[in-house]
Formats: sequence, structure tokens, C-alpha cells
Amino acid sequence: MWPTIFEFSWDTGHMIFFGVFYAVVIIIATSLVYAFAKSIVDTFSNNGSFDDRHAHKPMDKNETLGG
Amino acid sequence: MSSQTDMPTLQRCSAPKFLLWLSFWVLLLLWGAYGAFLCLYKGLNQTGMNNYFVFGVWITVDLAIIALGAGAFFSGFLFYVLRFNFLKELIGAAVVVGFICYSGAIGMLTIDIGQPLRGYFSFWHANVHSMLTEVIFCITLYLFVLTIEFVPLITENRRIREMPFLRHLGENLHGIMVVFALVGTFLSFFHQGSLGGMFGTLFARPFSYRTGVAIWPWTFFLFILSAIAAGPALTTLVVWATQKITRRRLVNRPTLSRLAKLSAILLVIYLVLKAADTIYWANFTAPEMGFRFTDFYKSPYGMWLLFGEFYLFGLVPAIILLIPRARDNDFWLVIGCLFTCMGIVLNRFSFTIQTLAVPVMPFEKFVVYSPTWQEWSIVAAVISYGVILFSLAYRYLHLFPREAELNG
Amino acid sequence: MSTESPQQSVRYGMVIDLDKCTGCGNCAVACHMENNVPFRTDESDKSRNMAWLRIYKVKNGAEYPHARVAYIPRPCMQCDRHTPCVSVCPASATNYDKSTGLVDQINTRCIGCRYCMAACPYMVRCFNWWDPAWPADAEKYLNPDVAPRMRGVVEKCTFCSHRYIQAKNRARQEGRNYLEKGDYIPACVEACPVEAMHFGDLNDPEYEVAHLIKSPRAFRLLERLHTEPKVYYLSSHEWVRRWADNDAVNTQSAYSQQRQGVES
Repeated sequence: MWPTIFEFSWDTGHMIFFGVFYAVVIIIATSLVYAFAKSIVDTFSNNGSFDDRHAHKPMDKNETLGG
Repeated sequence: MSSQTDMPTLQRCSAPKFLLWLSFWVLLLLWGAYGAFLCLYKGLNQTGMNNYFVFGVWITVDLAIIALGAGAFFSGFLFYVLRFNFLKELIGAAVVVGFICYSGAIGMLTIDIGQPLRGYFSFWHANVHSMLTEVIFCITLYLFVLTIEFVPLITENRRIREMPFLRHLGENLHGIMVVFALVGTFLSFFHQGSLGGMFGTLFARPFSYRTGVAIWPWTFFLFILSAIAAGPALTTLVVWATQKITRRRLVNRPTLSRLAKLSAILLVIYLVLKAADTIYWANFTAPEMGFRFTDFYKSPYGMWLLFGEFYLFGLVPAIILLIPRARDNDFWLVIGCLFTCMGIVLNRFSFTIQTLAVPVMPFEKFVVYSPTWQEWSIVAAVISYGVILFSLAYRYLHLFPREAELNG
Repeated sequence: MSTESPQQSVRYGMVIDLDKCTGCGNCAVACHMENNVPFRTDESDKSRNMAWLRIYKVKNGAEYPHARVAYIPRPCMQCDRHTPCVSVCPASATNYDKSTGLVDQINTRCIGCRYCMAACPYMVRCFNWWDPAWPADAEKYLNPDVAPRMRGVVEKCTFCSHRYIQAKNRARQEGRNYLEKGDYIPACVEACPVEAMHFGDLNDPEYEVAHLIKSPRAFRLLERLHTEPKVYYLSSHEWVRRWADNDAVNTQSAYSQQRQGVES
């Protein structure tokens, strides 16, 4: 997994496989960091109006969650 | 910020009724937990597996539920990327079903390997030439992606929405969901394919070995295609069953028909390619390895498996679901989708079990596998886990955005 | 003499003369003892027992007085081309040593997924279904050079690779950077009372095996799968040689005609 691990080899197979793997990990991580950072900013700036076109509507206040 | 007071009330059954429903599944789950404990504590000698059948019912179910869970990535791809807007009605349910399938599969795999504590070695000492490595990497990452896709559904819960940060987190994740949908599609493409590749590359197992393109055998592509055909069928079945059990309309009826039609079209394409693959394999690949086509089919793993996979659970559901009047009828819709799912289970069973049953050495024998109760209990536990999680999700989350409107 | 220099590729292999093999089982017993292969009180379930070297009994299918039997000892075939078990292992727990051609198992790395067993056409690999246990007295006779494997991992014949390491160490102590003929021999070959088993570098003409594999009597198991086994068999009997391959398309093959009556 890492170049420091016993039997890691710098061959084409490793380059392609781990290149793609770490690219995917970076995309996921960057997206998550963005979402977290924006959420923190939104929370403290109270700029929280969200787009109802995408999200589902929240449940009614009177609705009993426990049924 | 949208008001919470103008939202309609969603009715759910009473708590005792819900607990009674859960209790049955919890009992099954406990039975499975006991089976899992025995397998982990005493070892895999508790199973019906042996040195011939090194894969058993668990791997069959793993392959099957990963294929059936493809509804999540495929619906996500169609909705977020290709803008198939009719899927908005059930994309949440598809994500939950996918999450259940993948987490269940990984849980089952953990028990299936002889040294669960060494499971991370396949990351640490990854052999990048193994299809299984690709599967392990992709399903783990994809489960993570599914978890991210699940978060916005959870943060829509009224109590959770009261916490601003979590509410914003859900909204912001939702806003960039197209990224996760694309990543999920990429990962799913490879792990669904690699599950087929796992068997297609076994060049010393003539039953499963297939020729192909570059490093990918034909089974790589067939597994992807069969998964995206079966995934929507399972989503349709789950939504239909939820409607029946809860006695509420959750999605527009035409939505289910459209999803079933999509499944049928993909199934037909899959069946045509699968037939071509089987003909080539039977006439060229297998004979080159010293086998006649008929050598592979001995009782109890006879020709009925092939017949079932192609006709009863292949062509029949495809035709049913392609006929508009049939798929608009609940009975035929369910039969069509159920048979599609069963066909994929049968396909995965053949690749897992029959591959190992056929002797490769001339002086070995055709062998038969029968799982023990411990194995069945863990399969039952995974199903129970799925039912429990979906029940909880339905009860506490807004899986179906049009539910209030349709039941108004 | 064989050296370890990469220029002169060493390929350790085995030749088993089936015309000489009496099926006595000495090789299998020696293998068990040398490699600390565990056994159970009840060994009747052959589908789960541990055997690095298994002996198959095949018959010619004829009636008395023409009935004949032959015994086929089957160690690991040490496949040389795209070794099926090596390429599939997700945790790199199966190793192909390019300098010797030895296919070895790293037991402490095996996660027990058993994919290698599915990939191996020769049924060479065994899974530890139980914790290994020996009678108290038998533990004193365990080979200290070979670590017993734990429950939940796969094991297989390694051509006694620990003996290769020992031989290399001895050679180094003697100031050599090469092994001499006879320095490294697996336990089964050493134990065979009729000298039906031969071992050595298949590429080195100084070894008998290098000549034996060119014999018209030589054949390998399942050659049409192109795994390129480094274990060769010798037999002057055509019916025995027919057992080596499925060849089901040919209705005259042993596979087609004599499917019944096989014992192992």
C-alpha cells in the first residue's frame, strides 16, 4: 500500500492501481472537507437557507418520531 | 430557511406494532449472531465448506447482494448525472438498499475469511494483479461513499435538523452529491466487473474461465450488465413490498413501471451477450481446456441451472416486464422483478458453487456442497439486518419525498 | 552445480517415475513430519484433511487378469507460468521466487480467503479448518525449522523451501555463493525407498532431472491449461499417461472412459 512496506514495487501495475485508488480517495476527502467547511461557515454565518429543490421536506413538528 | 410547520404529517404505525415487527427480525438476527460467534470462535469447521468447496453460500450471497445492491449506484448515476428525474421518488430508498447490501456483504465476508483480524492485509500487502484486491478496495470505498450518500437522508430527520451544523452538513453534502454519484459509479463499475473477473480469470477452472479484452474476461462486463439489470428490479420490489406492508402509497405507480422497464431492457441486452458468451465458451474455450460442455453439468448441478438462468429467470421476466400491460399490473410486476433477481442469484450461485464442483483433475470427483445451519443463520441475519435497517429508515427518515402528497 | 546468479536461471523441479512408484506413502509421511503438517484423530474426511503430498490411485479399467493400477504422488506442481495461486492472492501471501522458481506460502500473511484454492486446478492447497494439535509426545518431534500454521490459513507444499534456505546458509558458511548438487533435496524425494522421485535444477544438465524431463516417457498433469508445472511424471504406460489430462473431447481418453472406479 505504501512504498515503505515490504515487497512494494514501483511497477506499472502498482502505479496504475494505487494512482487510481489515491485519486478516488483524494476526491472523496476533498468533497468531504468542502462539505464540512461550508457547513461550519453556514452554521456560524447563519446563512443556512437550503435548496428545497433537492432536499426532501422535513417532518412535521407534531409528528411523533417514535410512532 | 424553510419552515417546519407547513409540512404535512406522515403517519406511521404504533410503537408496539413496530416493535412486534422488529422483534421477529431481531430474533433472526440473534440466531445469526450466534452462528457468527461459533464460526469466529470455533473456526470455519462449523461450515459445510471444505478443500473442494472453498467458497460456499456466503460468497454466493455476497455476490448476489452486491449485484442486487447495484440499484443504488445505477439509480444515483441516472438521477444525479443523467437527470432521470422520475427516480427522485425513490432514490433515497435505493441508497438505503445499496447501503444494506454492501454493509451486509462486507460483514459476511469478515466472517468468511479464516483470519478476520488480518483482513486489512489485503490493503497493506495488496497484490494489484488480483481481481479480489480490486473488489476489496472498491467495495470498501463504495460503502464509504454510500455512507456519505446516506447522511443527507439522516440529517433530514426532524430532531437532527434542529442541530444547525448537521442540518447544513446534510444540505451541503446533498449539494455535491453528483460528485459522490460519479465516484460511486466508477467504483461500482470496477468492483461489479471484478467480481465477474474473479471467476473469469481462473484459467485453471474451465467452468468459469472466459477469454476477454486485455486483462478483463467477458465475465467482467457480464457481471456489470447483470448487476445494473437486477439492481433496479430489487429497488422496485423493495418499494412495492414497503407499500404493501405499510399500506401507504409511496411512489407514483408509473415510476415503478418505468424502473421495471429499464431493468427489462438491460436484462435483454445482458441475456443476448450472455448467450453469445456461453456459446463461444461451450464450443471453443472449454474444449481447448479438455472439457465437453456437458461435462460441467452433473446432478445436482445439472442443466436445469442453465435453463433456469436463461429462460425461467431470464427471458421470462424480461418479456413480462417489457409488456406495458403486464408491468402495470402489480402481480406481473412483482413476478417479473422477483424472477430477474432470482436469475442473478442463480448466476452467482453457478459461478461460485458449480465452478468448484466440477473436477479439474481427471482423477478427482464431482462433488456436492451442503451448507450447515451456521451458514444459513448468517445469511438470515444479513437479511434481517436489512429489513431492520430499512424499517428504521422508513419510520424515521423521509425515504419517499412524495409520500405525503400521495397519501393526502 | 547451480548458481543463484540471475543470468543462469535456476528452476527447481521434480520428476516422479510412476513405473517405479509402489504407492507406499513414505513420501507423504516424510512430508507430514518434515513440514509439521497437522492431522486429526479422525482423518476419514478427506475433503478437509491436510496433505501437502497426496497419492492418487488410478486404474486402467480392465478386468482381471489385465487390470493394472498406478499411483500418482501429487506434490505442489510449482507452476511456472502465471502461477494461478500467486496471481490471485489479494494479500501477496503466495510468493513466486524468480531466482529459483519456488512457489512459497507466507503463512503469517495469509488472510484465509481461500481464493488461491479456487484458482489451483491440482487441489494442492489445504485450509486449516481446525487449530493444529498434536498428541503431547508428538510435539517433541515437530521440526523446529518449520513454523506450524494456525487455524484459518491456507498451506501447501513448498518443495521444502526451508531446506533451500538452510542449504544456502550452509553454502555461505563454506564460502560458496552457489549450491552444489545434493545440497537441497525435499523430504519426500529423500524418503522415497525406490528412488522414484528425483529433484534438482531443470535448467542444469548436471542434474538428472534436466535429462529425465526430455524423456519420451515424461509428461505433466493438465498440460493444456498452460500452467507449466515443474513436476514431471514418467511412465511407459499409455493408459497412465492418458490419466494426466482431461481430454474429454476425445472419447478414447481415460477421463471419458474410466471416470468410475477412481480411488484416492
